[in-house]
Amino acid sequence: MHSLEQKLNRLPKGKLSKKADLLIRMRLLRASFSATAPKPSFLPILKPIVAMTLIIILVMSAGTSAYAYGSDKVTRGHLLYGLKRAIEREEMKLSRTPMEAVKLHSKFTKRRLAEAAVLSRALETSVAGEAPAGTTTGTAVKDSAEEHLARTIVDADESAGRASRMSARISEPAAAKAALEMVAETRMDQEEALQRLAGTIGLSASDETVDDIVLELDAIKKEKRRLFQAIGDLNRGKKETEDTDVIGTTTPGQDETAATSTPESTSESLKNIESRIEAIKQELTKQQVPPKKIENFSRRLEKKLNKAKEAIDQGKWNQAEGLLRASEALTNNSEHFFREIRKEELKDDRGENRKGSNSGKGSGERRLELEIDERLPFIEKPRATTTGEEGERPNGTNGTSGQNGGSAVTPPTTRPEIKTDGGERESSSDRGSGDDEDREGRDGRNGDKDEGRD
Amino acid sequence: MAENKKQNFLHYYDQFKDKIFNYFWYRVGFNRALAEDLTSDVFLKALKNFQDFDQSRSFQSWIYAVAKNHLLNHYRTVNRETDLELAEKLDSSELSQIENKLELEEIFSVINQMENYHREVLILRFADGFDNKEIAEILDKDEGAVRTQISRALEELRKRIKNNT
Repeated sequence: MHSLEQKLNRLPKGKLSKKADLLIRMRLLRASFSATAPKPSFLPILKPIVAMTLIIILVMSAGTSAYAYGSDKVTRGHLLYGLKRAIEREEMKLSRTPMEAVKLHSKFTKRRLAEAAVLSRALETSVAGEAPAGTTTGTAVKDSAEEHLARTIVDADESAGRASRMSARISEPAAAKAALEMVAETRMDQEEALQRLAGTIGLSASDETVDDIVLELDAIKKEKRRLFQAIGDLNRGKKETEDTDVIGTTTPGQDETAATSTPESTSESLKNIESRIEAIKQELTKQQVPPKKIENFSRRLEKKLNKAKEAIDQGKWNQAEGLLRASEALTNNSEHFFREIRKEELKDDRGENRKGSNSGKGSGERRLELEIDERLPFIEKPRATTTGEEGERPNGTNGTSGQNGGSAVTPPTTRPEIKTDGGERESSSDRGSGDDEDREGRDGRNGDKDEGRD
Repeated sequence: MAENKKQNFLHYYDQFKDKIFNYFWYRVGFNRALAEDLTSDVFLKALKNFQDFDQSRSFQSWIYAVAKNHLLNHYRTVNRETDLELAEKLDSSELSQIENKLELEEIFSVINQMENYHREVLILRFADGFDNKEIAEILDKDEGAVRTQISRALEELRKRIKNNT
């Protein structure tokens, strides 16, 4: 009996060949993309396996991929940049939860910002004289570097936006709060990086590049406010579903009110900006910025305003609105383009969080708390507040450019009535800060309620 | 999410691909290419209907039921007899290296003469390598009944072999 069973137990066991296995997997993958295939149960495992395999192959191969993946010097225009982004896409496929996606998008944002820093230094070099700007070669090099820089700035913002959108998908309050804080931290990193960028390239960059940077800076400020508000709401145990739906869905730089430009609003904006230019010029002079630079700055602004006037005369309200928005953003963020001011700011900055570091590594949480403390009028603080200077002062002690566009010498009430900023101010008032109007060049976040503090 | 509750289909594929292949391999005359095609068809069918698969059921019994039906359909297509048959001749080159090939040929020829249910449980037990519990799930029978049937099938096989010698 046992002999027979032993014989039967030695029957050979057939195994699928590797080739057949691969073919079947391919067929299954193809089938899963068809309408009748049950995608959710299949792709999440197949994609990570393929993605992981690709990452392993790419990363392990001869160090090239590792270099491409890990080096900030591999930027747009570099031979290995496509490989770097491909590896990142595969890495993204491995993320299984919204939180993991938030972390990855945040990481990619920081990468793009680091690349932008490298590109800005390259641009600075090309402008300074390695490739003479007056020559065809020099202009071509400069244009190419600027184009790469502009696209990298956009890429960084897109990654940050994706992180925001993914954070909105997290329903569990504690995880949602952690995700929002991470996104807020990313936005702050983005803001700091852009401010440093501005300082690096100065106003010698093209109008388009400068506009990209300042509009991005303005949009980030608004995005941060929304994030901090959402974090505060979560801390209060309130589900701010409307806001979390809004967060990350609005593309920074776009403004839903652009379509509602009116002749009156644009004319008013124009007047406000013109009055602010003088004030800013005086402030810059006080900061001992070289006259030539001040002249360059005001010329740039005036050129924009002249175009806006032309657009107004021609009845092109939206175009005028866009030009005015860019002008306002430039006045809001002008101090970042002047290294003379920035050096002073860096000295005044608290801790090591702001001194040239891309992000408050290790003390990011404290930085975020301070941001919430100092910047938000609508989040109550349980303890004594810090002064406005500390919280606000990457922008300069004299509030040359207010977060909401107010300048040091111009009362906030004279801010342009562009709704993007008016809305923000309204929201902070609605929260009962009460201090906005008293704070020059800031959002009036100091001394205000901070219910959001943990 | 559904995928959090369900085991992923590909995991099932990895777990059963060789078993299903072996199932077909023993039942299509050790024709590797045909067995691979049938295996592919079964998993594609299973993927197509996976969303309807009741997770409380055993995937193994389900996939084998699909495989069995598919094999029956195949035999109908090629105008073969509907009974599951084992290859009496191990002509496949893959088996040419088996030391006890002649013995296995003898056993297979005897098994083919047995009644369907006895034949099936023997193949499931020894060729497919399932234990009694798994066979019970596949055949939708009681485990005790399967154990009994395997004993009886072995006894019958032994007698037939003895009679043939």
